[in-house]
Parts: sequence; C-alpha cells; structure tokens
Amino acid sequence: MTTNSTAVDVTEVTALAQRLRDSVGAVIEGKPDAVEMALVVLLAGGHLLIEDVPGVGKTMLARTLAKSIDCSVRRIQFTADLLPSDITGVAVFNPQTRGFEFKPGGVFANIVIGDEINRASPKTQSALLEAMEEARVSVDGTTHDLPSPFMVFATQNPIEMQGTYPLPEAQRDRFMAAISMGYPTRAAELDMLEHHGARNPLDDLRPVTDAAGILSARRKVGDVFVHSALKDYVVSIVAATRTSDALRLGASPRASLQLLRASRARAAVQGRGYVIPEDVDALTGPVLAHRVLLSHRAHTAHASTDDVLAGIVAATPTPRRT
Amino acid sequence: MRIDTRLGLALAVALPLQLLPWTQLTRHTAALQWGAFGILVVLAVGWALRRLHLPPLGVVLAQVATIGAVGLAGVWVLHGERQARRLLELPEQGIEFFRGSSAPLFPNPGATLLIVVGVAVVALVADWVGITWRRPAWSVATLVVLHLVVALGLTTFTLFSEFVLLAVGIGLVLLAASPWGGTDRPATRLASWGMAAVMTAAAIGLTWVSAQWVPAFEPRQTNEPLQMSDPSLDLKRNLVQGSDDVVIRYRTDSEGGTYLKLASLPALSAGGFALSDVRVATGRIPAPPGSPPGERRTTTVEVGEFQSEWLPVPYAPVSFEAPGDWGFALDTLDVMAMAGPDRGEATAGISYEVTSHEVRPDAEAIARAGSGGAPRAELTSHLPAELPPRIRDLAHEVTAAAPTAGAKAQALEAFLRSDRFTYSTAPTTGTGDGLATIDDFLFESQTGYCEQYAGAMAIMAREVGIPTRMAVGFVPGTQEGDAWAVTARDLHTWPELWLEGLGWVAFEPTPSRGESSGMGTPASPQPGSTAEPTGGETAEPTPEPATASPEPSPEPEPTAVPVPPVADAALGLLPWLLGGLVLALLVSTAVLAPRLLRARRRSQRLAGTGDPRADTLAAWEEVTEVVADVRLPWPDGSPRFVAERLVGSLGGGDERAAEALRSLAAASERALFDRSENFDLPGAWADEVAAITAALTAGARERTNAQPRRAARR
Repeated sequence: MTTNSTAVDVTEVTALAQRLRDSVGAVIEGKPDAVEMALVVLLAGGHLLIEDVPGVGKTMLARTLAKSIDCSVRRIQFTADLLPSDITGVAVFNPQTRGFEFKPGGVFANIVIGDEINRASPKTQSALLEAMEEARVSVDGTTHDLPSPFMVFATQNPIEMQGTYPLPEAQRDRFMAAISMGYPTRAAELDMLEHHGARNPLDDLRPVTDAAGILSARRKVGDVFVHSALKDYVVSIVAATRTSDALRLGASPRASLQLLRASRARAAVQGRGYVIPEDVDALTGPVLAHRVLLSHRAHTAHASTDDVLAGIVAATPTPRRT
Repeated sequence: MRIDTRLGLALAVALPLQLLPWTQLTRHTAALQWGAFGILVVLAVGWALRRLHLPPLGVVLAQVATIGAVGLAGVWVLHGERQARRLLELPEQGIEFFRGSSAPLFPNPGATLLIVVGVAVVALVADWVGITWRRPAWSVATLVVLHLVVALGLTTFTLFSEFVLLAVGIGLVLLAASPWGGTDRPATRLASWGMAAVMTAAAIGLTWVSAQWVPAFEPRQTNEPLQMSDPSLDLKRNLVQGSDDVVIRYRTDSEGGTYLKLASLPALSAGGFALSDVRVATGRIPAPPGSPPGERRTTTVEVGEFQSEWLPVPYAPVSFEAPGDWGFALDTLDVMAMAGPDRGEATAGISYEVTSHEVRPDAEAIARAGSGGAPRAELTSHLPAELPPRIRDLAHEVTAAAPTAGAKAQALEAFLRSDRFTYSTAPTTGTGDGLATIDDFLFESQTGYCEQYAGAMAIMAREVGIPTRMAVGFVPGTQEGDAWAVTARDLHTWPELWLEGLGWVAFEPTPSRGESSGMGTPASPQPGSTAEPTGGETAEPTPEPATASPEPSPEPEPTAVPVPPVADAALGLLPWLLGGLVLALLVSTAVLAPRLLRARRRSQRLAGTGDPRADTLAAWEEVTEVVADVRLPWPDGSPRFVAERLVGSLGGGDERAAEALRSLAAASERALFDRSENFDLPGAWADEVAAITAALTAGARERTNAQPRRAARR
C-alpha cells in the first residue's frame, strides 16, 4: 500500500538507487550511510564534498559511483600550481583554421572528481566552483555548456594544513552536502583485506545506468511531493540556524532549497513519492553542517556543528499531526 | 488465570484466615464476619474495576467508598440504626473502648466500626501493594499485621495453630504470585518458598518479641496513699435539704436511664457500712468480677455543682474518658480522683464519657443463681458479732421458702418493698445504716429512707449467705428529652449482692420516697428506678404492683410492635443512605466519566466521515490513544517508524494486528504528507483498529504478568 497509480511513482528511481547501491556497495564496504548520501546528492542534482583523512576511501567512493554510471568521468588532481584554465579549458590558436579553438578543461565531463580540492589556489578553486554553480564555462567571451548531468565529487583533507587553501565558507555553500567517510568497522576492514587484497575491485565494475537514466531519475525526484507543513519545517530549521546563539553564521536560503531537494531525493531513493519529516531530519546535518560556523562560545564549549544542528532539529516542532 | 485474579483469590482466602485467631480477642464474632465480608468486597471491587482498566487512583477511591459503606452497614446491622447515625463519634468511642478494655472484648459499635474498617483497609493495602504496585511478596506483610493484632492483644503467647494459619496465608499469596505450574525455572519457585519461609520466620520472631512487651497493657497499681471519704455520710442531709437544682445531666443508651454509682461500701461494722481498704490502679479497667453477661452502654455525663472525689459512673465501668487524673479501685471498679489538693472537688463542672458493662439479669436468672465465688468474701460476708438475733431470725424467716441465693435476694427485696415499711426522711427516723438503726427500722419504727432499706437488705442477705456491699450514687433522675437530669435529692444508696455467674447485682429495696412521707420530690423517679437495674423484677408479683405496671409500657414496645420502629429506623437513616448514594454516584461518575468519554471518542473516530484522509488520520489518532491507555510511551517519529516500534509491543506475536498496524501507519503517513488530491486509500479502519487495540492490550497484559514474577524473585 506504499504506492498506487495516482500517487507519484518513484519505483524507477528506487530501482535505480538500489542498483547503484549494490554496485557501489560491492566496492565500498561497511559505509552504507556515505553511499546513501552520495546517491541522494547524485539524484538531487547536487555536488558532494567528502572531507576526511587520507586513505578511508573518499576517492574510491567517487570513482566507484562514477564508474557505475555509463558516462564521461574526469578526475582532476588539485595541486598548488594548477591553473584555472586547466579546469575550464583554454582557447588555443589553430594555425590551420587561423582561429582560436576551445580546448575543454577537466571540468567537461558528466562526473568530475576533484581530488584534494583545498590544495589548489583560491583562483583555481573558484573556477571550479563557478562551473559547479552555473553548469557552464565562459572562456574568452564564449560560453560553453557543461554536459548534463554534471556532478562534482570533491574531496579534501581536513588535517593536512601545510600548503592548503581551505575552502572559504561562501564556496562551501556550493556543495549540496558534505560528508565524511569515517574509519571502517573492524569487520568491514577485515572483509576488505579478504576481498580486495589481490586485485582492484573497480576492474570488475560494470555500469548499471547511464547519463540518460540519471537525468530521468532526477526529473522524477523533482516530482516528489512536499507537504506545505514540511516546507515550513525546512524553513523553520534553516531560520533557527540563523538565530542560534551557538552559530556565528547560519545557513543561506540556498541551503533551504538544497535541503528540500535532497529530501525529495531521499524520499524517492527510499521508495516514497512524498517527503516525511525523517528525510529532513536525516539530511539537516550533511546539508547544513558545512555551511554554518560555530560561535566563539560554542567553540570554547567544544560543541560540534553536528551537535548544534541536532539540537536545532530536536527543538523544532515536527509536523506529524494535521 | 491472570496474576491479579490469582493473587486476589489468594488474598481473599489468606486475609480472612488471619481473622480466625481474632475470636480469642473479641466475643463479637459478628463484627469479625463483617470484617471478612469487608475484605472480600474490597478485593472484589478492586478486581472488577481493574478489569475495566480504571486508573489505579479510581480503583482506590472506589475501594475507600466501599469500605465506608461496609463499615456503616456493619454498625447498622449489628448495633442498630441509632448507632449508625452516630457514625462520626464511633471511631473515637471505639479507640477509647479498645484502650479501656482487655480481651475478650464485648460488642461495641465503635469497636465494630474500627474492626470492619481496619480490616478492610488492610485488605485495600494488600490489594494495592500486591496487585496495583505489583509487589505480591510485600503484601504478605498485611497478613502479618492482622496476625500481630492478636498477638499483641492477648497477653499469652500465640498458639502454634495460629502460626500455621499465618504460614498458610503467606504460602498462598506467594504461590499465587509465583508462576505456579508454569514453564519458569525451578529456581524461581524455590525463591518464593524461601521468601515465604523468611517472612514466616520474621512474623514469628516479631510476635514473640512483641508478646514480651504486652504486660505493659495490664493495669498499673499505684502505691500512692489516698484519703477516701465516705459519700454516704451526707446522704440524709442531701435527701432532706438538697435543692432541686440539677447537679448532673447525662445521656445514655441504657433503657430508662442508669444509676450513677459513686462508691462501694463493703465493710460492715456495728456502726454500719463503710469503705474498706482500696487497691487503686490506673490504666485499663479489668472486666467486672464474676464475668457477668451484659450489654455495652455508653453514657455521657455533665456534672454541674457536685463536688466529689468519686466519679459518678454506671456500674460496671469498662472505660471512661474524663478530664483530670482518675484511677479506679481494683475490687469495686469505683472511679476516684488520683492526686492534687482539689481531689474532693474533682467532679465539679466536668464532662466525660463512660462505657459500661450493664448487668441487668432478669428475674429468672436471678432466681436460679447461687452465691458462690465472691471476691474478698471474708469482707463482703462478714457480720458483726453485735448483730441482733432477731434480725438474723427475720432474715431466715423471710427467705425460708426460697431455694436459691437469688430467690432469697428477691424475697428480701419484696419484703422490704412491702407495705410494712414506710419511706420517710423525717428527722425522727434514724440516720445511717448502723446495726441499731437497722434494728429499729425493721422492728420498731418501720420507717426510714434508702440507707435503712438498703442496709437492712444487705445485712439480712449476708445472714442468709449472700455476699453484699452497699453502693452509693444517684438514681437515674428525671428524663428531659433524651437527657436525664439528676438533682442532689437523687443521691441514693442501694445494696449490691453477689450472685454466682451474675457478679455484683444491684437491688432496689427502697420503695417510692414520694407521697407517703410528704417530703420527697413530687415527680419522683422511683418508678423508673424500680424498673431499673435492680433485681426488682421479682418472682412474686403480689407485693410489687408498682413495679409491674410501669414496666410493660416502655419495654415491649420495640419487640411487640416491631414494624414502626424499623420503618422509623429506615426513615432516620434515609439521609445517610441518600448521602452515601450521592457520594457513590459522584465517585463512580468521577471514575467512569473518563472511560465513557474515551469510548465516545473512539466510536466517533471510527464512525467515518466519508473523507478517507480524515478517517485514516482519526483511526491513527485512536491508535495513539490506545497506546497511551496501555501505558506505552508513544515512539517519536513518522507513522511507519512508530508502527515498527509498536509491533514489538503487540501481544502474542499477532501477525494480523502487525499487518493492520503497518497498513494503517503507511496510510496515515500518506494522509499526513502525501499530495492530498492523490489520496485514494480506504477510510474504514474499524477492523484494523480493533485488531491493533486487542493486540496492544494483550501485550500490556503479558507485560503485567511478567513483572510480578520479577518482583517475586527479588
């Protein structure tokens, strides 16, 4: 009794999500939450920032997901000497045609994996972030549309401070969600040694969908119904981050939009044609945490942004009765 | 059988069992029967109301109301409507009665109320602790309490058989609490047996220890030297010169008023009757000597201008509550002021209440009685050597035809009340009850007043082998409404004769002091006093026309014409009954109203409005309330998560109910959050809600049954 003809039919999205989940899960073991978030962001049409220490599988997650989709994938290793034109592309003079010819940069792909994004100079970073926001690139007065779907997986290393340019808050706002992988459980790590010791698991991976499948799924996600009470709920939570004593910087209106889009995607991934408060609750942390800044007082009290956001969610009345 | 039923049944057997030893404590087994009835009713009410899922407070309130009703009914049935109307005074009276009595207790309305209510309250506590609070092992303590009451009330160590009763009771309760015959581990059963053993041992120990302290309840004798004055010294002056001012007013439940006795004069010398050495004690008044049959009476007395060290009380006092420091004579049970310079005025202006054991044997009982077994017979049988022989002869002559001591007493009384003697307090008559005066009264003047009449009877009775003593006090006085007024002229003396099996019996040999002398009060209380406590109802009716005529009119009325009094009683109790009914209605309304409202809400929710969305949400809301009804916390979250958590609380793995719960939750979630125009689900959920409710209730019952087991193991 979960779906019927007149309700929003999200079975296609749910099935796609399950295929991707199985595919990624074969490589990334013991991280269902991170995989789920990556799927949600993918289907919501956002970009994902993965922050964690080296070696926990950030890049692997991105690559696995990318390889599960039959589409163009490019990986950019960000370094201090990377130039903006390496990202966006450059117009070069063609002696034969006696004209300038656009040579697309690394960003021209359906899925772009930006490794260690905080190693690049701010100028280069902003070139990528602009492309993320606009889904197009302007070089020498010419605008070049990026392929669709377009999604950026960026990873950054939070503890390595030497020679890094941490993303400014305004830039981080471009990412729909920020997640951290965390260390695997003991069992998962053992399992990993068992299965992945000999060969690269990515080699066996076959795509389970293509760019068109993702686009179609995204359209369906856009149809997922959100009750006005839940929109109100989202706005209440975001507004509360702006008035909270524990936060120096609250979430932007863009954050509200992305929280709602992510909630829709989560509902569809879980087989619902409508959003429930749990969707919003579960996504508030990943979607808002990287956008807000702790106040000095909260800092000295050793509170984390996740704690503060969980407190805000708990304090906001949940719309469960009509 | 559910645990509360099992435990309720066990308590219903175990608690009344503990009342069996109480029969040693009181002769009033009817009160104990009412107590047992109270126990059963309280347990039954608790059981039934819990079945209706009443909140615990409601159950307790209903049980308290029940206890009140049973207590009132018990007093009414056992002691009559008049006592039932005095309900509010009864507890105090009962406490006073207990304080002043020693086992075995006599029937007393206050005691009945306290016993019935007390025992029922113990049952309420047992019910609450064992079933509502789910500590069955602790409810055993209430059995111990009932047991201890007997152990403390009796001076002797409790018999073995009563321990058996206690042990049986404890065993029953603990067995009912433990999973009898269930699949539980044997360790559990072992633990409950161990608990039973420990509790029994504790009860035995407690009883034994407390039994050692019981002698504290015995009367304490005092060694203080007290100077007693003979209240009969002023008797004639009072009779002659005493004013008609009322000195004492009293109310009593004794028919026809009561003699108020001041002192007993057991010692006889040539000069007449006098006080003897008095052994004074304080504390609980012992039962009257000779264990006479009789009735409990309560008398409230207000003393005006009457100064005495002796407290006017009806014989035989059982307990009294009077301001000041009072003791009593162990032999005569006369009550006297104990200490202080104003001992002689101790009675002036005080009010007090006396419970007495009224000895009023009928003529046949007296006629059958012998005269053996008198306490201090050497004193009460003694006749001075100077006693004139003609008095001895007269005594034998008058009683020649009488076979028994009682019949002899009746013959003497009739002889003195005959026309042969004239009542007079004229100055020419002698004063006092000296042998010479008595001799003159009997053979020469044949004129006298109470001292001579009473003295003559007391002396002649001793001559024929009946121990006697003189009593000084007041005749019942004049009835004024429901009170009695006593003047100084009502001061009186009468003989008390010892009759085997009846104890000290008051006789009234003094005929009317009225018209014949021309000096007495015109409206003499004499007819009343003849019909009074005396053995005046003699076997020979011929010399006693005055006694016979006034008697039938007040006496047979309640028995011969029983209908009007009963109707009156019902009418009199009507306000009480109505009040009780209104109270019961109020209580049951307060208790039942939430349930009725709840049922109404439920049917309204499930009735259906035609809007499937609203109906689904109403059904879901009903489920939230059912969850609250069975005292489960409402899980936080959207319906599907709530449903998953609640599935674990459904009883007996009810798959159908789990499916119904999940469907309803999914539908409710869509009703809450999905596009409303798309909502095309069925709105009728009555069957699902019924299945869910049944399963949740069953689950709650399973949890209830599981919990006392844990308690029993502890």
